[in-house]
Amino acid sequence: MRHKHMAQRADRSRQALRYGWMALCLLWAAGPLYLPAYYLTIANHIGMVALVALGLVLMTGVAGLTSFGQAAFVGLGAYVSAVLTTTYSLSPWLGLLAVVVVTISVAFALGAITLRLSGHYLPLGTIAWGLSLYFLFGNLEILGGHTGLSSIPPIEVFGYGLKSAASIYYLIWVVLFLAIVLSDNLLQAREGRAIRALKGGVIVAESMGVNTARSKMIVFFLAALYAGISGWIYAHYQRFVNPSPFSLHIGIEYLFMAVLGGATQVWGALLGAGLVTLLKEWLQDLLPRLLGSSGNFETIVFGLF
Amino acid sequence: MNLDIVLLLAQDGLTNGAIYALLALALVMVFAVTRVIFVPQGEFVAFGALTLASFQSNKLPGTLWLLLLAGIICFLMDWRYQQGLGKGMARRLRWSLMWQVMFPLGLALLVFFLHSSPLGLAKLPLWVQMLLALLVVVPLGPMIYRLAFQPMAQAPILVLLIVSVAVHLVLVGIGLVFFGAEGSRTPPFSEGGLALGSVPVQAQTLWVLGTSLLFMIALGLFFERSLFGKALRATAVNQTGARLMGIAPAFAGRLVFVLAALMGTYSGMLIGPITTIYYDTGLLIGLKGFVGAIIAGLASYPLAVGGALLVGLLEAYSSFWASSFKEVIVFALIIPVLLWRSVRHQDLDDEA
Repeated sequence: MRHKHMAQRADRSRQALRYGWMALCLLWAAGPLYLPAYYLTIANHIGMVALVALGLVLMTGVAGLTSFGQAAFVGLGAYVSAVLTTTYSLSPWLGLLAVVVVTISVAFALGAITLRLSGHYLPLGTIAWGLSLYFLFGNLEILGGHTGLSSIPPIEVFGYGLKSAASIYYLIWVVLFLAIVLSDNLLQAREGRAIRALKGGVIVAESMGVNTARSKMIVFFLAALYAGISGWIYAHYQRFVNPSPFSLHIGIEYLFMAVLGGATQVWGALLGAGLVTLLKEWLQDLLPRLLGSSGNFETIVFGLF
Repeated sequence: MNLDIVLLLAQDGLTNGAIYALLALALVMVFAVTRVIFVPQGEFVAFGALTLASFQSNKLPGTLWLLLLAGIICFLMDWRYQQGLGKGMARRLRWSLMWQVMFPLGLALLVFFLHSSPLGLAKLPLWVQMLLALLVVVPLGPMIYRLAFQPMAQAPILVLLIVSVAVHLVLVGIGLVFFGAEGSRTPPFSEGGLALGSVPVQAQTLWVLGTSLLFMIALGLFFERSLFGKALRATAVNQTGARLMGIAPAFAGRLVFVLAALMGTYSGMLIGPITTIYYDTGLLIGLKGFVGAIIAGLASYPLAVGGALLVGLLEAYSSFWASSFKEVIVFALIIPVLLWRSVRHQDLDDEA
């Protein structure tokens, strides 16, 4: 009798969970209908930023590799597509292909050098290439220097340009959702176990037969790719790029998001991105004199450790 | 490119390099004693220069408020911490009250008095202004240690690094509030200069090279000869061992932060007449010192000086050949160095 009773209860709670998910999906899908324009923009921003933070959750939280330079990969994605679609007037989708190829190759080159760094040398190395890429964006003639590139075409789906905040909302969140599911599956799989083993130090993982160099590279690729795609969406959504959103400070912010969200949970990326973005908005309202990031991070980071 | 330009660039590079060297030394020192990678070092450069600039225009610098506030918070932390520790701690608490509350208060009163006196702050001789600026900014160093790093002194390097970055962000934000977005220059220590063959040498260049050399010698003597210097070295070698010999890690931490803040602030006054300093300039200057320190593996003092001079020279020459890429070149330099460092140290298991 008890068994039957428990089975019924489990059944019911599973059903409740399913309904909960469905309600959440509906709530999400109807977002552009009820969200005011301002909040829709913020939701879009959170989605784009969460994609980068997701890569960092994999790298820092799961694999234990700290990167301060992730904003540079976002910039790479944004600029590659921006140049291809403005100067060479290619389709943004070809731009996406180029973004994937370029971010992976740059990640390969940077990873080959910096991932071999151990301990605190790795984050220092990421600061170095993060800064270098940022200054490169600001100084290359073809990228428009510090003024940047404008009149970037929007992404087109079946001949329909995703110009409005509402239309790009779906693209951003579908991409983010796919990335979260992909990352979650990866972490459950054999390769994911190898990646999770990295955090406890290289020696244990190596002695269990994990090719740690390869595992580090995979997670670095994935993080760079997420950042690049986020940059790609950003460029075609804002229709304008300049170097300032790809600076070291923003890279640090991405890291805070990953750390804030719990760092070991893929959904934590969303939480961290949401919290930091909202906090920033709120602070910018509250303290108009304090531009950008300010005081409160300190206490939050302290609370964490 | 003729010899004159080579010499001029070398002079430029050595001047900046000497300033980076001071910062690099401070970074190595702080890292050795506390394992903190002190990213906010650059903020002391900016605060030093900008506080002096405030005095120049007869304004009360915001850093004075920061000092008062941080001092009170530090004292409250000390007070809370020592409540459970019995009566023997009363002396230490008095000391804490004196240095962290009374001293800033007295200093603030003095600055107020000078500010409202008919003479004004701006008319004071430069060295008095510099001394005042040092007194205002330098105590912030140990206070930052007390607030941010002492409570988590045993945390892994990586956590300390992240906290350090957080402190940096906070200080930059505070800098923006206090000093605004526009930059300032401070006057050179003395006007004029001399001619070295056909190359003119600014007086400030001589000041930079001379005083930073003096600073380094003094630092060397401090570490070799004085009891405090030896205590710091002992802590750097082995914290537990030093503790058994009666050197409190917290004391060593505060002392080394005093030194680091002193070197940072003074560097700010050195570089103030050479480049315009903004509230956020500190990071870049600090990071260049950092590249020098990294070349030395955050361990060797002479190598850190050499590395910083190399950075200065590289920057000067690359600004001649490829001026817009000078930052790219300087920061890209760090990567092969880091690689070489980490290949040479084949210790696998120092993941934080």
